[in-house]
Amino acid sequence: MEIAIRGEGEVVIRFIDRQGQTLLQERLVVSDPPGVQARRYVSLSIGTVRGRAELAPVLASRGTPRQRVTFDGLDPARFARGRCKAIGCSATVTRDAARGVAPAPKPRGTGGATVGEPTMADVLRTGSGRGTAR
Amino acid sequence: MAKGSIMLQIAVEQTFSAPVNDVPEVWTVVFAALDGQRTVVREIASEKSHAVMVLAAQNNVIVPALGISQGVATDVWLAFDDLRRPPAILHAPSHVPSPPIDGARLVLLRVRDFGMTVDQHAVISSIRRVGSHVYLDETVA
Repeated sequence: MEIAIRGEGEVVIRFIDRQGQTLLQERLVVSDPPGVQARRYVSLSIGTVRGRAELAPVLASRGTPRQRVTFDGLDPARFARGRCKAIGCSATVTRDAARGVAPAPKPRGTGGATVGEPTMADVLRTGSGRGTAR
Repeated sequence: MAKGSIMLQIAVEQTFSAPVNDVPEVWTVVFAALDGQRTVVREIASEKSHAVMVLAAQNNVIVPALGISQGVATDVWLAFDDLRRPPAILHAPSHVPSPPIDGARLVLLRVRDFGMTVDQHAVISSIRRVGSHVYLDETVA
């Protein structure tokens, strides 16, 4: 699948299986001049301990509303809806995927590299004095 | 016209929920238009931060050795209106100005890193971050 990005900012895409679990998250950051574009090509399946898993991409967030993202030339919601149906997601998972709702990746299984980072939006709000008072 | 000073930058971060048999490659490009004037590439740089473990998926399995590079492959392509003219390709890392290149209409930054695959007797646990940038100046020729 081709991910096309037009305009700068951070895009977060979560790749879910038919149960709606996020197996892979990709964060893509693009800078800078006006009119900048990016392309990334990804596979929509991955090998797991339980066998090959078919994936559906969910556009979880983008930098600004002006940043444009397409999956194989289609609106991400439309692509996610079609892909979810193709891999056998439930109606709820399909609806959530089209709305950009997918769980953050959570480490599972024995052994592994982990990362637990605060979201930068919260850090920026705190740094600019707009954070919630404690 | 000329675009002046430009920075192009792209970063990719892959986070997996669980060990997998294959880690997808990174192949991504970012590009922007130029005005066909004189281009000097000032800097091309990249960074990689990668944790990877290969684990046996069953008992009595010999885990394969795995070699991971410290860096990613980054290059910058300057393409011209005349498609018969081959693009100028500059490789990272580079921290000194390139020779001036006239007539480029497109600058493209490409970042690549390998995918990894193991058979069903082993799994890979991985987190990878890669990022690259190019600084360039376009001035009137």
